[in-house]
This record gives sequence, structure tokens and C-alpha cells, in this order.
Amino acid sequence: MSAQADTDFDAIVVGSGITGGWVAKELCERGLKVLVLERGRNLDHPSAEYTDFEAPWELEYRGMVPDYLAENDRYEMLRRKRHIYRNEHRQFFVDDAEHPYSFPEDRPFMWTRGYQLGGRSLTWARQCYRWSQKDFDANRKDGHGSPWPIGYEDLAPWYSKVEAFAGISGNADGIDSLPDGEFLKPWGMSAAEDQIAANLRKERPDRPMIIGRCANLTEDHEPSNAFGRGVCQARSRCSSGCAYGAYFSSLSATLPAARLTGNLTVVTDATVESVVYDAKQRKVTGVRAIQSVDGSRETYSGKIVFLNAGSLNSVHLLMNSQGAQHPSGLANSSGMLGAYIMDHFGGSGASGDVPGLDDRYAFGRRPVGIYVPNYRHEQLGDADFLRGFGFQGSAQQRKNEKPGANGPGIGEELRQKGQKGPRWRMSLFMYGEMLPYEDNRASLHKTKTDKFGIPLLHMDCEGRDNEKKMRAQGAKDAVDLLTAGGCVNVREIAPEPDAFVMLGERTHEMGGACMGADPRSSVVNGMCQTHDIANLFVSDGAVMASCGTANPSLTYMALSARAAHHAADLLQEGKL
Amino acid sequence: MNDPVEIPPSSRRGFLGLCLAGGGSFGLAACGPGEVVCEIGNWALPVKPAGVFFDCLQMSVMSDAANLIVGEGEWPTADDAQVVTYLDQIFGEWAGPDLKMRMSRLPEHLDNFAVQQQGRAYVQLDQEMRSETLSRYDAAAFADRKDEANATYIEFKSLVLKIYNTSAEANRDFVLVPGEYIGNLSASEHLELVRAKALDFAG
Repeated sequence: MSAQADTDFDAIVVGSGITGGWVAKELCERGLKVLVLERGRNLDHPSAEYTDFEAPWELEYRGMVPDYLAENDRYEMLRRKRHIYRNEHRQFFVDDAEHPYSFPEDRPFMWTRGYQLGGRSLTWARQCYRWSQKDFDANRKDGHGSPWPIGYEDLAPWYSKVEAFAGISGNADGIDSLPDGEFLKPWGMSAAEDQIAANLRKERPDRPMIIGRCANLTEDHEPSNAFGRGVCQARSRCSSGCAYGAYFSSLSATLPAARLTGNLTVVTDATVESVVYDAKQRKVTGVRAIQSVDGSRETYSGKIVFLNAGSLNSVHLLMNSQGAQHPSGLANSSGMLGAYIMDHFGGSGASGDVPGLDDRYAFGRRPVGIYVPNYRHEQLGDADFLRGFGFQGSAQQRKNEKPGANGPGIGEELRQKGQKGPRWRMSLFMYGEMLPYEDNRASLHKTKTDKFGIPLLHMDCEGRDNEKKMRAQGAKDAVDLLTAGGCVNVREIAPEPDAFVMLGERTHEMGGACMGADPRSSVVNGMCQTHDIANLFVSDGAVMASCGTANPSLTYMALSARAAHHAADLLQEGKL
Repeated sequence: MNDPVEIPPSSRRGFLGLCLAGGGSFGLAACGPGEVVCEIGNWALPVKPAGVFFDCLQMSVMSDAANLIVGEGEWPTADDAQVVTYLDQIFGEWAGPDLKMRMSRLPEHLDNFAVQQQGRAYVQLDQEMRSETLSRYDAAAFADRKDEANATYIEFKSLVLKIYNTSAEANRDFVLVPGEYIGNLSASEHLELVRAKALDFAG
């Protein structure tokens, strides 16, 4: 659905992913004429590109990504995410060879992108957790990064708003570091998870294990009915697209809601190369976009501009909007544009057998695992690092009916290997909060450009000693949790202590246009409005001043909805 | 999608030379992709016709190896699940030139090992000896994954397992749309649900 009949709008939203969808919905519902620009192709919902109704044997190449792509160095980074690198949803991920970026050879950065209408909201992990006041206090407390200018109470009503619309399942667990929200009924734990969680309540009461909270509808949800969204069928095929619309995405929920207002225009296949700045008015007046089909350029005008291109792409766009008045990038009087790039990091954890449940079985494929929220906000005695971490994981049933993974042995020997041990095995994987480092930066490459002549984004980031120490402690804690939970044959997952901590592996890259009260040290204010330009907003992960440990999408959504209403208010009041 | 790549004849010539030097005497002169004529007089393993990509020697050796890897019992064999037939069908467009080259030489690698271990070409060994040979080869391959021939075998085994484990035959209890998740069921309760909802329940 591309339309170019009109080029003057009240608001322009760059990007149609999880935050762009929210901004578009809220602004349209406030009565603004909104243009959403998406660099990728159009997708309908449900889409012919969805493969969720194909059985394993019906999938093209049985889900194996064509080998010749690897031989030609395609999908170089996505290939490292082996659980994601699947042919049935490869169409929803970007090939680095087509959309290159750069990094120092010894400090790789993993940038997972989705260039289509809906962006990465089609393939996100759907886990939704509110941040607590402890998360917003972190920078102020230890002096790293830009202090957050907002707190939990500022966001709480917006969390409620987005949860009520998206449909988030979960328990009211009553955990200080993980505020409860507006929940649909939770997914159930497996017998093994239940047993471990019960043991932990007794043995490690400060480290509760709960069922994950996620944006898959677990019951009839009135706000979703208008868009034909149905209840999750426990297929665990979310990344293939969901014809039921059972998980929240901008394609299934916010964009349809925006369309219902009659105020939405969507233009796909349009890569925004820069934001247009009027020095006399000290305002942005629109954006310049390149049409993918023929390389032609079009300028779109709007009273306000929202950047929701995905953290790094929003930063990239601001940098590429440099001009005489702002040689180092738009909205960059602080010099902090591109600074403080963060991601959750992991690499450590543990797994163990769960005894005593060999006669218990699970049916269905649950779209979420268990969650152990960060219990290290306060520095514990065994910590030689700042900040903390949590865990995600699940208990898996051994599959006795098929030969196991590729390992030594053939025939009966291979089958026997898959059948050894108890029926259930539990795994925990650490999610750590890295410190915001000013010199973990994104910048424009000095010489390399893309097919449109736009300088490539250059990423120069890594986890430091603090993260390596935390990772080591994460492995120890995971072993302790599983042992205390009653597991046996517990195996520690611990990388070499000095192993490189690569950012981007969790697809939670954030920062680069951080929020702060001080215009000298941050890019946007507490309302996601750039300090330098009143009618320019950024409300995706770029504005995050710290990264916490909880999956950030719900916070992005709340920030975006709040920022959209603030912008609409200012526009109505004639202040923009 | 890339173009199918012809396998240079040198690999097969090399293979033949090696087998002959090792005492083998089977002939392959007229056996190519799309052709079914193999001189199989002294083969001990079941002969498969040439496929779309692989010739009859490759199809026969790979099918035999796949059956031994998957094994026989109360489950479908690799042949039942059409593992190598499927691999052959997709290989021309799915595999890259390097993998095509490597995989086409798998029979040669197995044969080298068989000659070394048993004094005869792989195709000339009876089933028990082939099973013993493949089992040893498998152990040797995983003990030294860097060796190119071993790596090729491990790639082949990985493909066999992926194709087998995603086949309809190996997934007779697959439930495409469970509709719900229940994490704590007895065996009989679980079976009842699977029976009610599986696409092709096999009991």
C-alpha cells in the first residue's frame, strides 16, 4: 500500500516498527494527519509471506536456509544467531550484504534488522516487562551515563495504556523490581518449572522464578477484536508471522488502529536519508526520502517529525542530516549523538536435569519461557561489578522418538544418546545490564557508503571488564539457582573470562540519542523531544539512558505513546 | 537462487582410480545424474537409481549411510522418510558450489576408509561390514572435525538428521495447531490430546 498523493502532513513518522506503530496510532487518534515512511516493502496482515501454517515437512527446504547464501557471505551476522537463521522467516530479516554496516575487525557488532512494514515487530521475542524505579535510578546511583529525567511513576499510566491495548499475559507476582501491570491470564509453567520455582521460593526467596510475561493473547481480548486478532494457539511459530494476529505487532494492531481513523498514510519502499532543517525557524520541516524502486528522491513536509527507525537507524539518520549549522549531526549540540550504545549481554548460564518427573508431559508449544528478574540491583557481597542481571530460560522435554542432534554415533547408539537422563532438562541464560560507556559509539563511516551514497553506520562498541565480571558471576548464579531448584547433573555455561562481549546479540541495541535533563549531556528530554529542535522527536530505543535487564520493548512503547501525546498537546497549544 | 553447478569429472575419475588401486572393480562409466545405468555386478549394497543431482553411486552410498545413521527399529527408516531422495531434489538449487563439490566426494571418502579398514570398496561390503565401517568412520570423523573429508561426512549427517527429523514420516504425532499449552499431564492425558489433534497420528 504505497501512496504519494499528498506530501504535506501534520506529522511524519519514520519507521513502522513497534514504536513507529504506536506513535502513528496515538497521533492519528488525536486527529493528526500522519505519514508513516517505511524503507522496506509493504506487507499485509495476514500476509502471503507468512509460513505459520506449514508443517515442518512442507516448509521450503525444510526450513534450512540455502547453503549457497553462506558460501556467498550473505546474512553474515544473522547466521551466528542459529536459532533465528531459518528459511521460513528469512524474508523478515535483513541481509547484511544488501544493507551493510561496518565495525572494527576485532570488535564485531551484531545488528539484526527487519526492513518491511511492521519492521522487527514481526519477529520480536514479545516479552514485556515494566521497568522499576530501580532501573531508572541506576545511572544516577553509580554515576555512569546520563541520569534519567523520568521515573517509574511518569511511565506507569503509559505502561497501563499500552498493555491494555497490546494484550500482555502474566501473573501479578508482587516483585518490587518488576512492577505488575494490566495482565491477561498467564501461560502455565511446565511440571519441571513449577517444581524448580517452588524449590526456589523456599531456598532462594530473593530470586523468584516466574512465568514470562508476553504479548501473545491468552484469552479473548476486546480491544483486539476490532482488528481480528485471535487467541494464541501455542504453535510457537511467531517469527513466521501469525495469521491469527495472536501476538502484538504494529502490523496486526497499531497500524490497523491508525488506519481506522482515516488519518494515516503509509509509504513503503522509501528510505529516509535526512531530516530537513530550516535554520531560520529553527525547526525541522520534513524529511527527504529515496524511493527504493527507482532511486528517485522525494521530500515530505510535516509539522512534527518522529524518528522511530530503530535505535541505530534513528541515530544514523540524525548523523546523516548534518548541515552547516550542525556539522556533526542534527540535534547534536551536546556531542552525545551516537554515544552510549548498549545492549543486554549474556553468554553464561547453566542447564540441569530435573529429577522425579519422568511421567509428566507438556502439550503445546508455549511462546514464552520463565523469567528470573534482576535480583542484584543492590550490590551483593559477592559482586565485583556494578549493576545486575536476570535470567530467562525454560525446561525442555527430551525427545525420545527421534535421533538426537548431530553428534557421534549411528543407529541405535545415536538414539540411545538422546534418551539418556531424566525426561526434563532446565536451562537458564543470563541477561546482564551493561554500563553506559560514552565511547561505545556509532558514527558515520568516513569513506564507505551504501547503494544510495549514504555513509555506512560504523559501530565501535564492546562490553568491558564490568560486563566480563558480571558474566562470570552469572554462570555461578545459574548453577546455584538450578542446584537450589533441585536439578542434578548441572552444567555451567561459562565463556572464557576474557572472551569478547559482543553487542547486538540480544537484539536489544539501544542508546545513541540518550534522554536526559541536561542539554549539554543528552540528546532528548524526558518527553523524547530533542533538546535542540522542538518539533523533532525520537522515541525508539535510541533514547534509552541505561539498558536495565528487562526486555525493553514495553518501555519503548510506553515512551512512544507518551511522547506522541505530548507532541500532539504542544501542536494543539501552538507551541511547535 | 544460484545456478546448478556441474561437478567436474575429475572427482569421479579420482574416485575410480582410488578404488581400482584399492582392489575395487565396480564400474560407473554410464552412471550420471538422470541416468540409471550402473555396472553394479559386484555391489553388495542396495542400488538406487541416479537422482536429479546425484549419480547412482552417490545416491546408493548416501541412502545406505543415511539408513545406517537413522537405524532400524520401531521407527521409519531414512528410506521411508525419503531422506536422500529429498536431499537430491533440493541439492542443485539449495547447495553452494563448494558444498556440491564436497558432498559429491562423500562416497570417495567412505571408500577410502573402507579400503583402509576392510580392504574393499564400501559398495562391496555386506551390511554388517558397512555398518561397522560407518560406525568407525563416524567416530573418527567426530574425533577430527578439521579434516575436510570428516567435515563433509559430519555435514552430510547433519543434513540427514535435519531432513529426517522434519519429515512427515518421523512426525506422525505432530500437532500443527495445539490450541493451548498444558505443562503437567500424565502420559495417558498427553496421548489423548495428541491423538485428538495430531495431523497424522500413528499411535
